[in-house]
Amino acid sequence: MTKNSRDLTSPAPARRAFLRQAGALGAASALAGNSLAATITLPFENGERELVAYPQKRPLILLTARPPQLETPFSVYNEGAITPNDAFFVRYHWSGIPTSIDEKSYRLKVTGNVNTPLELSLAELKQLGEPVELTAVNQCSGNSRGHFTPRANGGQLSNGAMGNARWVGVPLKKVLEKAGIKAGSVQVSFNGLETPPVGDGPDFVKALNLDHALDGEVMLAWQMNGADLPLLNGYPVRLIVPGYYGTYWVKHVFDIRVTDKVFDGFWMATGYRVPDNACACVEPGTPVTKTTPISRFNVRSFITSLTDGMQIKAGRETVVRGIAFDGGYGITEVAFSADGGATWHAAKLGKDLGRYSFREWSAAFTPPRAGNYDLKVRAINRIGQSQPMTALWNPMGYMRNVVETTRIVAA
Amino acid sequence: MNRFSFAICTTLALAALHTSAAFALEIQMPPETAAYKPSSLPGYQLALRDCMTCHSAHYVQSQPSSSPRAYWEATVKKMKHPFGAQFADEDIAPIADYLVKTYGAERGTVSAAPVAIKAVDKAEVGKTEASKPVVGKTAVIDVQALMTANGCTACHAVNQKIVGPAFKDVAAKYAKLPDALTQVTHNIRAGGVGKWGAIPMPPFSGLSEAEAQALARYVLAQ
Repeated sequence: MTKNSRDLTSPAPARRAFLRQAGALGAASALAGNSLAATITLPFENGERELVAYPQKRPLILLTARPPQLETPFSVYNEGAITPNDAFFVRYHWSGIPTSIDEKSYRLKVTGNVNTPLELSLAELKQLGEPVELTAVNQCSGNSRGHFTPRANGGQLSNGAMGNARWVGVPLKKVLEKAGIKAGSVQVSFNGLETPPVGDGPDFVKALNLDHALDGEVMLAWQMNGADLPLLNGYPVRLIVPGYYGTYWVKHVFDIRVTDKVFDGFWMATGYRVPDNACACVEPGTPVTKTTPISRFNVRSFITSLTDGMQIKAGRETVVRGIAFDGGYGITEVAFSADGGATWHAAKLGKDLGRYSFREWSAAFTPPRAGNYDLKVRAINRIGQSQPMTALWNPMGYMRNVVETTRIVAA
Repeated sequence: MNRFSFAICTTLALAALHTSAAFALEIQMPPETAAYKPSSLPGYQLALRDCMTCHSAHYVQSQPSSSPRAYWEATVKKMKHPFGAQFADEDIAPIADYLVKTYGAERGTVSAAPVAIKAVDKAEVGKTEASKPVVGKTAVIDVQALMTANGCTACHAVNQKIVGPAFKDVAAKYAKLPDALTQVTHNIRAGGVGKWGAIPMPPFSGLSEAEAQALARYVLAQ
């Protein structure tokens, strides 16, 4: 489907026919999703969810329909280090989202504190320089919020609001340099085609500090895993902020502004803020006094080949597999425990796809006897950061990264 | 703010300037099926009108059922300010009350479960909060009271479409069908989506067959 959408040389009637077909496919997949009425129960109170197929997506865990918020079923992470486009999670804030985007009339505006304001077509953006490719994890700030104890209000997600993809685009730096940044600039703000449905609600606009925006890694991407971005993941262009939470990865970005002061919109000044301390945490159940905008991922790791309650053979070797990632320093070590954290063994690291990517790992485990086993995994990054044994807490339900436990039975 | 109409204008302008037709990636969302739980609490009708305008009921349904009243009040307030929802300040308290008693920490404090309001014998009104249905043959079904109690008029009017279709349009659509009464009765109790658009009608399964039929008869008479 997306391949065709790049084919701008095909005659107009064919493209129109394609459009009709795309619409029909969308409806058909929708019907399939509902008639199957497949459901899944996430492992926390009130965790019953439907699995529904949205356009360009396989059936995913439906958190909200309007606007769409879809979570990736956890089994997908055991299929490989790259999350397929049709399984990649979806998160919007406002129900005013585009359902039809014209690639030819799309323009990216760069204005504000610049020498030359720009208005770039998609073709012009793609020709700004040699496209760069980067494999990077995108993770929602509230990924795993449903597991918080005490519970935190907000999107009640299990661990499926994360994904790893190969992004192709142009460094934001190239675009900003073309516009020419004036002296005294402080931040760069990003607006996408996501709007409040009524009234004067605050538009979803995010901002990065100027030095971050110019680091050469922050990217404007039009391709994901070798195809156009799915519409629900930001077609035709989204911001990629490697190592940073998904809130900054503005979808359908069309309006970039260089500012001469700290951008103070709702989604920076009020929303998406964490306790301003090293752990971004407070004592469970207590309020937060000082906050700061959420930024880099902390270290996380998961077992993907086994889930709670699964049975393996006692006395026989099982290779346990999983993934680990961090905010961009790179995972250097993964430790595995089969006795609830009493003893740890080094896991074998899989192929290195770059420091922003999921890193696969595996560990051989032979249960000596029948019984219950608490499996744990803990990752360490290049600068020695790791994961806490007891979950850190904040009232927003952000940044969970506790050492996870998978309870299995050997028989 | 209104970038969509701007985008349309841009598209038209480009189409006029260039010979090549514009191409768009278009998607169609699956039908929305989540609905608020019917309740006798006044906030139920307000939620249908005020909350459904901007987001699906999932946001409410998926919160931990331990969520306290303070959370619901703060959230409804946030929807009005700064999020810009277009409802009156007076709606905030009753909506929060309905939400905490239906989905939050005060569940079960009104009655066993939020149910559609039954037709009641006039003599029994006021005796008990959780009104029991009158099953006797002599029970008179007050259609207007049923409509008010179940919030029908939050979404429907006789002559014009509001959220759902006008009763007149429903009557016209089903007029020639021999089993119109059965179908409309069923649709009221089962709810549905897609017959009149993308916004779902919640199921009113708490209504008895007789009550739903009385409502259907009223609708079809418009």
